[in-house]
Amino acid sequence: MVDLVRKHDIQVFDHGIRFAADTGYTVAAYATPGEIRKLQQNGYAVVPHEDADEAGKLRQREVGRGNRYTQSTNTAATAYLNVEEVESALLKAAAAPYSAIAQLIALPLPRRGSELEL
Amino acid sequence: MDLNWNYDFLWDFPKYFSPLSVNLTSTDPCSDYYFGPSAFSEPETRNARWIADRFANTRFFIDLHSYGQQILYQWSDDTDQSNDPDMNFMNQAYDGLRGVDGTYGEYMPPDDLTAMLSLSAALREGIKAVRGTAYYVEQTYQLYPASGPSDDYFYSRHFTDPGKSKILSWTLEWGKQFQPPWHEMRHIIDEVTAGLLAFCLQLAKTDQARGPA
Repeated sequence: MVDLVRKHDIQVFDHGIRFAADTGYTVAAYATPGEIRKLQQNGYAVVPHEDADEAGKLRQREVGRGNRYTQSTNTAATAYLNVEEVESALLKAAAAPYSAIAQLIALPLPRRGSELEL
Repeated sequence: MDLNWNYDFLWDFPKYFSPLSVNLTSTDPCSDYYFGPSAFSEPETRNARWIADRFANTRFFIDLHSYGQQILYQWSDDTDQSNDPDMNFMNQAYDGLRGVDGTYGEYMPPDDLTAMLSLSAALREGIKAVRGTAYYVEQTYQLYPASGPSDDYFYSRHFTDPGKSKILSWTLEWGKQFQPPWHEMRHIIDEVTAGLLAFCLQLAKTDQARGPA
């Protein structure tokens, strides 16, 4: 794995790393078609998983429109929350009947969003 | 940069880790794994530290990540050991030796390890109850050696400052990909929610068994 990073300059994920006695290390990584060819020439077994660019575009199309918490929308149950919906969800989570165990807190340093303390 | 290498736990990895360690953290500002110009250089990590300071009775911390279907407990820098309290992240005698098998082990009090494993099991069973998904319970180091992660920092605080509360910490790596399709994500949300509820119920049981303070 060290060679993948330091010698072949491959962007190895720091997730999903596995070791088995029979197969050695298995890692997930981003690699271009050219990098995949070079890795195979150097004896690595490469299993293409997905086109990361295409997968990212697909997920972006799954983000909801509008705000399911403040208006009726027919995409509510079929899509990721957008930023406005995340904020609304936090407000709802800190409201009754949960207000006895949850509160919204303001963080000292500037950033988007809010934190919920339980 | 990677915010999860920016916390103040063995942050300066070239100093603390063996040069032979497979530590993916990078000093290169162009890398996705860049650790930042200093520990707590970023507002996000300073905000997280502020929460623990502000709510001083915090006892548990779970950092939700994707992906890997793993429940990870401390430590991240090296193999856990419960025999030698002097072999620990604060001991400069071990600087430059961490992160390779066989030369160093990070001290974990036995009671803490027992509690972490018990709560990890509750979390795992809660997740599994939703649709049978079996998460791995592992020490983080079994994946790879790491420096500056949030969970190690929050757990380490009571060692570096005995006046601070002990915070048992985990990293939960949900799912099998960074950005799953929404139809899968809905199930993952159910699993994580069930797991966290099971974790809390286990805590309640433990507190009941202890009796009134």
